[in-house]
Amino acid sequence: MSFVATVNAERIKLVTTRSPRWLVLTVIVLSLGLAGIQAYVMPYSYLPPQRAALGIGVFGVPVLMILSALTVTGEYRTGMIHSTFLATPRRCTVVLAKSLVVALLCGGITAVTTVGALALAGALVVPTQRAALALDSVAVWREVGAMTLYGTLGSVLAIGLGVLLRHTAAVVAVLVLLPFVVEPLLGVVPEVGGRIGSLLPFANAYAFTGVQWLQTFSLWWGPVGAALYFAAVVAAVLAAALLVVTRRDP
Amino acid sequence: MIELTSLTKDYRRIRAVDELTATIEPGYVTGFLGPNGAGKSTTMRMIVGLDRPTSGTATVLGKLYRDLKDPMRHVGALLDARQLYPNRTARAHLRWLAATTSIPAARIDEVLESVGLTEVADRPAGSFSLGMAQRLGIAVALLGDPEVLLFDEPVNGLDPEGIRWIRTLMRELAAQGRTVLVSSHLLAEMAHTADRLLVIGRGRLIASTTMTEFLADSGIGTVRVRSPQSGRLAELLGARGASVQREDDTLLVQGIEIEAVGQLAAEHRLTLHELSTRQASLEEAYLRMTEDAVDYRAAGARS
Repeated sequence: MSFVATVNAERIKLVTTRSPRWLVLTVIVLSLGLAGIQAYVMPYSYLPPQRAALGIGVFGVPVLMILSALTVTGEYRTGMIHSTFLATPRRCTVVLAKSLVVALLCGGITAVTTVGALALAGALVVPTQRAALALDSVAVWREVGAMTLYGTLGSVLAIGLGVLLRHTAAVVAVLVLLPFVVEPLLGVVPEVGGRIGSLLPFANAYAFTGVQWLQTFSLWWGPVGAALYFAAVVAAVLAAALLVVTRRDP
Repeated sequence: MIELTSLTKDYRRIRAVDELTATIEPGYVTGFLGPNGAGKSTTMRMIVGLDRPTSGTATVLGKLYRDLKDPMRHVGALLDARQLYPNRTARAHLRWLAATTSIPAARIDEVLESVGLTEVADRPAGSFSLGMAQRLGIAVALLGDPEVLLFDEPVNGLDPEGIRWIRTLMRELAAQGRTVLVSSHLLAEMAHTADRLLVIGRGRLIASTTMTEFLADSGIGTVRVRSPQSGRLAELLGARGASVQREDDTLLVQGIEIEAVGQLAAEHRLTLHELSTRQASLEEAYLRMTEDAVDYRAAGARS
């Protein structure tokens, strides 16, 4: 039950069911689709990489987060978690192995999909607008990096929430309601919005990935600060999950 | 070898397992008996570290389960046959389990063969009947070739052929020198399988005994005879050293085989209206035993 063996077991779990494959396919279709449509309908407009990658930020990564959460909540729902903990009684090893596997998978998928989306958009805009999406521009690779970081951290966040909440519905509710409903609503509440808007985790995620979605807050700590802030939130959730999983009877 | 020391588990206000102390020795099938809700499953879950004891300890091979290196190579457990992901095939389920402990892939085919699931190994485990799922659970338990085996109600959902198979399997495993702990709420199920018994009721240890002793105490050897010449028959049986209880024309005989009673009656040309063994007495003895424990608890609570 070394860490490497546990990671390998988690990898096998991921490739021996069909749902991860379908979810990954959904991610690719939605992400490339949104990039393609934007470039196709307005080929003469300036399309910055952040806009072309919108589909990855608002559809792709959330779906990958749900995929990650399912690797935990699916085990709790079916009782398979007992088999897992019998094989690897050091439960932190299990949570960390799961985190590593989904981080690599989701990070990889996000990176490849972002590159694909930007390349597709670049191919569909008119040649004069192509420079902004060229694969030799720093802005493009900065965006690929930011999205990859978001996909990686987001999947680990989902593992942590999955361990803490154990129910798929609860985790999906948090992962969908938080960025799309709760945070935007809190953000527009007078007084409150200005004060806590910048502290909301997904507001920070959108800040460092450059996704223009519903609203943006001015963050004095800049994109790097926002990335660090989001990473800190993920680390805190994962730490809580590691603490809880050891103490709670499954 | 499994050692339980003052093992206790509280669920909010209910005490599921109460100061349980016992040693389960290798080389025997130990039956773990108790009515539903007696704390058998909770105890087994604590042995394998799924539930944290409120106090006390459960050790396997002298160590806490979580301190075992590669626990699947030391302990095999069938706790609930359905603890798997329904869309994954039986073979894939065994594959990831084997990977956690670096068990070679050839072993997967071996255990599938030994539980008779080779032909359905590539079907989703969720499509299995309870009996098949139970067999897969046993395959999981055997995967690491462990020296300690725990089976929680293993015959649930098995057909008669399957029940005989698992009984034989448990006896073989014990004969190989392994420690086998099997829980059940049915004593009859254990009568032909277990060498030793651990009886619990309401989380407390009621008896730790051998099957032979238990049977001797329970009066399982009782033969019931009805005869119009019961008085004469009672004399003859008494002369053979059997103990006889007489009620009108009915005799309850202990200490003699049923065949010998028939033989004796034939030799003396006595008419018999009934000659049978008392099947229920085993369950009765067990119920008497567990009821006592309940009474004891109630009395303890009052004082």
